[in-house]
Amino acid sequence: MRRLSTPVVAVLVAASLGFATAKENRDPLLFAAIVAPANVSYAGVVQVVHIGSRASEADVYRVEHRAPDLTRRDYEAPAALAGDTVVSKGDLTFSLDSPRHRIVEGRNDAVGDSRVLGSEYALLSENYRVVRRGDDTVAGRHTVDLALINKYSGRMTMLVRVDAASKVALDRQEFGPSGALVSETRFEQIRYPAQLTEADFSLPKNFAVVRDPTLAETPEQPDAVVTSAGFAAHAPRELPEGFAPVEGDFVELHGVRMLHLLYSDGIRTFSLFESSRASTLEAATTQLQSMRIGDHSGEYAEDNATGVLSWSDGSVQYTLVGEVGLVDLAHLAESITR
Amino acid sequence: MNETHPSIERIVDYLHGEVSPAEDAAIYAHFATCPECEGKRAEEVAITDALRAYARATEREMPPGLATRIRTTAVDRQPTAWQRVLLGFRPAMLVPVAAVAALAIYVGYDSWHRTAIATPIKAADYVNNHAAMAASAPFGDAAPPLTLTSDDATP
Repeated sequence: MRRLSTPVVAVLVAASLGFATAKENRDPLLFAAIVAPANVSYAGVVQVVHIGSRASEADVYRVEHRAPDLTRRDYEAPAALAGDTVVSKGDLTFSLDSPRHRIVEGRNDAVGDSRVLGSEYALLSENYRVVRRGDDTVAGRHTVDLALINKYSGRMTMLVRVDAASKVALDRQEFGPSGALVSETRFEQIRYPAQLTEADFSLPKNFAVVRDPTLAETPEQPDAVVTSAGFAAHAPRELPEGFAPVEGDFVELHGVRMLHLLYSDGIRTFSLFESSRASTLEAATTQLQSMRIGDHSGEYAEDNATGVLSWSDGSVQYTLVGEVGLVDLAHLAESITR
Repeated sequence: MNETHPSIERIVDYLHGEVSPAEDAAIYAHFATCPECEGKRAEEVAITDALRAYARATEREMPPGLATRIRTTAVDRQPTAWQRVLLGFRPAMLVPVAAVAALAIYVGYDSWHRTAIATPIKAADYVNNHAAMAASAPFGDAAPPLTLTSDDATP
């Protein structure tokens, strides 16, 4: 864990390092893979696997992507998502809710905004070293393999297999602190059609459109969100090595308005949710585990192999979410509560 | 009133003029033909006359100046601050005040209770929101389909 010397490391990373510095440090193939969706259209089948300490889950979806920013995903598995469709157009995302005959409109955070991409890539370059790991074949395509080595731990955190011709990342494997595989996103099939028509991304006209209640709130700098929370919100005093606050906004879960802060080291991420209203954690697939956070009692659960740790200090309800592992989540929790 | 004889209560009402004109006429006619009821009426009249005579015999005049002295004493004896506080605890004051207090406590407790009740939130809802925002990371996963958590409350 690294003690924060300045209140907003994100500003330091995004502003002082910036896109320009990132350009100097960039690995050409890695950068080409990151920006490939803005330049290359494709269609295929993707399988995503998350491997947790207690359970593993997998998603399978068909994807059609027209550069730069039109994407349609039709889910085939798991059963809970089968039949669901998500269409992303620019900075908006539309989730088709067929049982309710409606479309839920929300913000698309994955849009390849050059400013965000620049600061995120700068963060990645600051924390990871790129090492070529030879060649491979994924979905019948020749790939070049890139290992991303964490500069603090010296361990490989991600292995990316990049299509040698199109530069699309066809396989991404993420590894935990112990070196074990924790997730993989892999194209099982991919093709590069000459043309994808607008009709491939059309939305049903007879569905009602419902807006996400927090859609109007634009993401802000984490410091600004903490200041405007309306209650005594706290940011962590210490962060895992290489992590920085990158984004913040407000969300509403079951009527409870929450501050949401996202922290990242360029690859790994975790979120901190804070609310002045009390809430309890419910887990559908795993049992809750009781924990001590300083003088307070907390609960830990995993969902889709992602850890969720929630506790209250009596005035603020905190919830940490991320793939950084229970040990780091517990350290983060204690640094917030101290 | 039964069919033939008025009850003693109706006879008393008759004597005080508290029966309807038709009943008054019927009872009056009955007394003329029924010595038993006429006897009861005479007893009631005698008792009433005796009570009035006793009241007149025992009636006393209020001593001269008593009413004035009572009024003067009442004005001079203004209650102290403490006595005024105690007056607030008279049942006539205490009961409505207690009722209002009970209502306020109920409403206040209900309001506090509502805010103190912890809202259950699924771990999956946190994870989906985390995934949606983390999708902006260079190799972030695609955000899952967006759902509205308020839907869980609707049947």
